[in-house]
Amino acid sequence: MLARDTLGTLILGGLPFLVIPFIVASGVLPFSVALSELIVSFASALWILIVWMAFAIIWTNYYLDLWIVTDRRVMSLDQISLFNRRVTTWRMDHIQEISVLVENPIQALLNYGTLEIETAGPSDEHASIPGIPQPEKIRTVILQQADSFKKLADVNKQQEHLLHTISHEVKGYLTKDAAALASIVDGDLGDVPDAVKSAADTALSATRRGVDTVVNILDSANLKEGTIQLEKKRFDLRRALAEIAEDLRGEAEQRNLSFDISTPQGNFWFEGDEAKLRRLVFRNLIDNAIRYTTEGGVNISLTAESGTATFSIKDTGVGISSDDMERLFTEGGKGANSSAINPESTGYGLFIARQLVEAHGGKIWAESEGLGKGATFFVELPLAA
Amino acid sequence: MIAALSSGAVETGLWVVFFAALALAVCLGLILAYHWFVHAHNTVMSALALAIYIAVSFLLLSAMAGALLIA
Repeated sequence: MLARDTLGTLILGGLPFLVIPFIVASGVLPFSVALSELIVSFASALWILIVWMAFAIIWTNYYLDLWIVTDRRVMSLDQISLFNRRVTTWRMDHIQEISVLVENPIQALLNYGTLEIETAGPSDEHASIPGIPQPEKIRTVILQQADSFKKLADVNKQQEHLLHTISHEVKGYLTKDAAALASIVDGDLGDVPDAVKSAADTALSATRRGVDTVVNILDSANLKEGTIQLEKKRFDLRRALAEIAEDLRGEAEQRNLSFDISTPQGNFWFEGDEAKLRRLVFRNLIDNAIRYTTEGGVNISLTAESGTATFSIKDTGVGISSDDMERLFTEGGKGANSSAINPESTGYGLFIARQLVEAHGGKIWAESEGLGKGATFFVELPLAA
Repeated sequence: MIAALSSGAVETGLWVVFFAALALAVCLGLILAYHWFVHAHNTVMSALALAIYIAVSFLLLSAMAGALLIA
């Protein structure tokens, strides 16, 4: 394409030098010789200037075409004209086959051609990327990368499946252990010595934490795979929040923290999985705020605007550094100092909360001015009509 | 009708065309500069391409102006 356009430009640019002698010699211009020569010289320079400007546009469009091959996708940035730019992306795992087209002797000589990518996805696509230098080499690189990506994705899937199976098994054993220990603690198995009862009580707490951790990992895996069942029904967000807050008030007071909740009057009807939202989002966020605050207090509020409810929980706790903020809602993402304050943290709580809020069409985020300056978590959910 | 045009009128017309070409070249230069520096991600190449564009355009516009001034 560029070679053809360049050749065309050179021919067009050279045209005046072929035509001028004939025009001047034929005397078709009805002016004096001096004026005719002026017009011809001027027109020639003007002609070459216009051809030159066209060439500058063509060459700029060509140079700004860009192809990027990463380990996950192939991107084509096609500068179609000066203000027309198309960006296309193909995922590595969707690439099926790539063929190379070298269509004429110029392309063969200059070693460039067109890559035709066949993809398999929701809609099978066939795309062409023209003007690729060393097309055979690029084709090999992309196919190798696509192959590696697919292998890696398969291994990841197998590992996640294995983790899911193990977690499920472990949860079963832990649940049975917890039931047995609860029987000892509750006295269902008759009187036992105090030392045994105390040991069983400690073991029961640890087992319940273990069950919670495994349940978190299972929830996370199910949310990621989209296999979690959301039992959606209409419920009042304000009531749910107030109940959870009242439930956790004692814990805050035990730590000598102020604990305020402000919600406007009226119902905040929302269509969603109440049990999961209560446990994995609201309780989790309030519990975190109390756990990571040593002095000051926790302030909870719920507001509604334009059909969206915003739940915010502000604390005067340890705060979040900008580094921690980046991995806050990621899988296994914990703050650098969180293990010292909360040794039981698995790093899955906020990841699950984000997945769940997003599965309900909402969003979750946090704000903090830095370490030691407290933090505010926000959850936005669309209210039912 | 063309023959009826005086030498002065033709020269004035050519000057108008010259300034139009100058304006066009400057506008295109600005647009190209924007594209090169925003999308090319290569400052050296962008500067080189613009330098060539400016040099060639300047040369051609000088030739046009020179022809008019000599006349």
